[in-house]
Amino acid sequence: MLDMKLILNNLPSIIVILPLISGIIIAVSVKKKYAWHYSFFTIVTTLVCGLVIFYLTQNNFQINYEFGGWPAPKGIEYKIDKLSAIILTLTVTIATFAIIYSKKIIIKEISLNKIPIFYGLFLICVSGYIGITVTADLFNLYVFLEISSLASYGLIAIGNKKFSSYSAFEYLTFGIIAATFILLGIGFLYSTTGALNLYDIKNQLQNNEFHLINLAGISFIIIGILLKAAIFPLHIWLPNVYQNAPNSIIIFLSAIPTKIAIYVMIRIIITFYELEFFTKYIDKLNIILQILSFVAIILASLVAIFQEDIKRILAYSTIAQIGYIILSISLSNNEAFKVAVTLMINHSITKSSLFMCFGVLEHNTGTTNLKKLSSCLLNQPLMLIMITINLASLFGIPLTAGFISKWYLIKLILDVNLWFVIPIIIGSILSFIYIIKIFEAIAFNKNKLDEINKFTITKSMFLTCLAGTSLNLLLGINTYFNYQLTDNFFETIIR
Amino acid sequence: MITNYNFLIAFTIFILGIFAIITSKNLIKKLLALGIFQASVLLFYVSLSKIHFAKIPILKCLNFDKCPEIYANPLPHILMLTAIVVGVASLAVGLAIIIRIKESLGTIDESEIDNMRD
Amino acid sequence: MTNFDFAAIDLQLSLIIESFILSLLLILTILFVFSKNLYFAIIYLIFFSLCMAIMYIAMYAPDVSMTEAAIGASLTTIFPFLTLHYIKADNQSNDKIKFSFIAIITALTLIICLAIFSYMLPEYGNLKAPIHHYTANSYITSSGEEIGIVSVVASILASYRGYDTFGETVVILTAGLCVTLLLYEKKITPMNKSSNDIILSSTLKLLLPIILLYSLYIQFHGEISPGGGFQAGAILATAMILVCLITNIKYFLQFISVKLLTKLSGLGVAIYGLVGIFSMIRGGNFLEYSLLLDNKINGQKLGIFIIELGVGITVFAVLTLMFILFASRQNYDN
Repeated sequence: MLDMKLILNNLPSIIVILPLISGIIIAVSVKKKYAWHYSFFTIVTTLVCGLVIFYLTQNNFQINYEFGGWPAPKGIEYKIDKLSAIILTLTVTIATFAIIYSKKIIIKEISLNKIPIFYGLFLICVSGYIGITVTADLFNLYVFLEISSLASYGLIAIGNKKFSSYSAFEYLTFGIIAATFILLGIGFLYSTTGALNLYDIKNQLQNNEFHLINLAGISFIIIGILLKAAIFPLHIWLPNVYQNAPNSIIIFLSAIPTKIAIYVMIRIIITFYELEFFTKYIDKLNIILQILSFVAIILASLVAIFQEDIKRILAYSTIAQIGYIILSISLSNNEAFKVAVTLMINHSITKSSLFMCFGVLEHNTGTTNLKKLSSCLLNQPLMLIMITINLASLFGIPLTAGFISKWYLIKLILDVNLWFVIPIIIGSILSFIYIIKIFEAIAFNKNKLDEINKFTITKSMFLTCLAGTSLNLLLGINTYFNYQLTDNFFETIIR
Repeated sequence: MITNYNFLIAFTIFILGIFAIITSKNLIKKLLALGIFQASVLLFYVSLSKIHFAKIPILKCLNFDKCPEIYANPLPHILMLTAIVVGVASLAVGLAIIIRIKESLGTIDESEIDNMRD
Repeated sequence: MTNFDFAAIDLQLSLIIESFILSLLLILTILFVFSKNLYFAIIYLIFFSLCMAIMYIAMYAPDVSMTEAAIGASLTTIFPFLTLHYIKADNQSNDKIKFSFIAIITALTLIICLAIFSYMLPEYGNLKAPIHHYTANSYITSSGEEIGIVSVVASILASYRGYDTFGETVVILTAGLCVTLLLYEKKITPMNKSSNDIILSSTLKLLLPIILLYSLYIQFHGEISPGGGFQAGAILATAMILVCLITNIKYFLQFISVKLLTKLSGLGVAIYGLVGIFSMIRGGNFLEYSLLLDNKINGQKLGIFIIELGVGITVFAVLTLMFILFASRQNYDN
């Protein structure tokens, strides 16, 4: 019965259904001791499926799947191309890191009898994000967006910090407003075309006269996406969530949700790219996005310098990086989307590695406040090297992933407009200041080490920090896994 | 004669919902305003599907050619069934989070929480 | 005139009646936004949901109306009441409202912009609107022969867009799991006091079998009339909540424990997923019901029957579980 051909034919649905059903079974009926083992097994199997899909699409093979056997406009279909597969693999990789990292330390943050539900919700969240990347139906995208968002609200609120539940509530408010905006936008597009499938809508829009309503629909969807992606004026929920979420979750939540939102935006822009009324609209939208991204880059880096908690500094640094990504999308040519995807991959790996390393720090000192850190890392050369490499990647020093993304970004901007480089240079200088601030607090710490509490690190934490940092170096040395993945991008994307 | 009154009311409730979310300081009231905000989008969708003097979407006979009738459009109904369930789910999770906020911070008033944070 | 058959009244009159209900909706929203007392706000919300349910009937959407009345009007109001009761301090059930002038002017400007916009939308109720000519037409003309079910809503919900319904069931399960994660404690002793009112207990004895039977009727007649898994699960949950309110929760938990409810909620989604996986094993795609049995139409009917059952079980279990967790939290000492 476990026919290889059967699995390969149904791979798009297996990669979503497997974590979903396993997550439900783990949450409801599994022994507490074995919850981690079952979820580890599930996420590794999902990773294997994801790598198979990645391999198939890299060889220019496009995967179509129709649910219920009903053809496209009647039923829901999945269409996986290169862009989807890249984001999909990124999501599952970081989810694997998060689950491996949390093996022994989850018990410090969550009480024992809630651990199965925690892992179950985490797997449901991951499957929700995977479902967003592979679907071609807009309403299905809304449903899976809600699945993943609801799971993440619960996962953030269970943290044991004082403001965990309030940060989750702020995130819930913004998340529901964003999802409802997206739903209204889908409604506008539906009211003029009658279709819910993205490619169907594009075909119907070619001969459509209701221009204003179509533009309103696309605008509402984009505003909802910008709320979820934490662009400058709509970023208010981000620093509090990063500071107060449980350590095991923030590895995943710092890297993936905002990137998935940006992926949806890229998908919508690329699909509607050739329609005439959309091209005039996108020119005006690009100007607004450029202004917002410049403000985000400079202001976020500036605010980050004055923060006292490492996690808040990283949060504002994320807002600045998302500014870079939106800047590259707004330059709207083939090269721009390639650079955007490169930035997304590199930033995800860097941020999650940083949060993994600082999670080790918090495990030992109990705090991430710059003034209260103890000097426990001074005798750990390997940890210091890993933190240094990841911080260097944040700034963009050669041999790290961050350098590759900054290099291609500056190259792209120099081709388009010389003056746009100035905000990037200012942002980089400001980021250098806060990176030095963090590094100084860790490496040149003058607080006395408490002799009783020595430095402890579990095997799984060490393994994942090592894996994340080496992936960072690998992406920095060999551009195959970030920039060159997107070769022939525009030709292979479904339009 | 005003014809698109449904859409007008749906958008007005939409804006009023966002207004209530931004200006109310009590967390439970914010959550309820989120519910009203979502309900306005439901009203919009179902108004799209109405056809005057149509029949409700339950077929009179299985073969459509034998008894052709005008039925109301069933697709927005299904989308809205999903949206109602999503609304209830978000409300329940939000209220559970509010109970935890009350236990950890002692208040559910937004201005008091902001003072606590500084 | 005792029946309000909107289709038979002249077009103008029906629009006037709908406009009246919509204006009522608007007045309720404005009252809600400006109300300071939270209990009043929840009551305005109940009336809002009921008016929405009536509007849905006027727009020929009986399925949506039933779901709104069963889930929206009843359950969306009991959870806030429970939370308010738990929070208890009276100065926290009032909202301090200071409306700045800028906020009101911005809101009015946006309303005027969207009002102008609403006239560009396709005309309300017109058969020539674009959405009626594309997929909806093909659903109505072919669903009777391809699936063999009279209710077009049930066939689209369960078969054509069955994957969305799967996602929706997972949404409500996720909400139940989140509430369990946040509010469930093993040490909680559920409430022991019950109301010893004789009127309430006799009413319960009379009503309970009728409600249970009605929910089963709605579950299994979803293919012939408006109904289906969601509405049935919600009505069954309402019956259980009624039992808990009139007797006490401890009594109820002797029959259906929290563990059983948690497992039932997972069971419903697992049934749904198993139907899909079984159809994958028989050589089709996920949720392709035609391959479940040898006859295509019988396969569709069987598939729809089983998944509606799964949906009903999950919705019932999750909503009852959420009620018990909300109501028991006040006995938990932190």
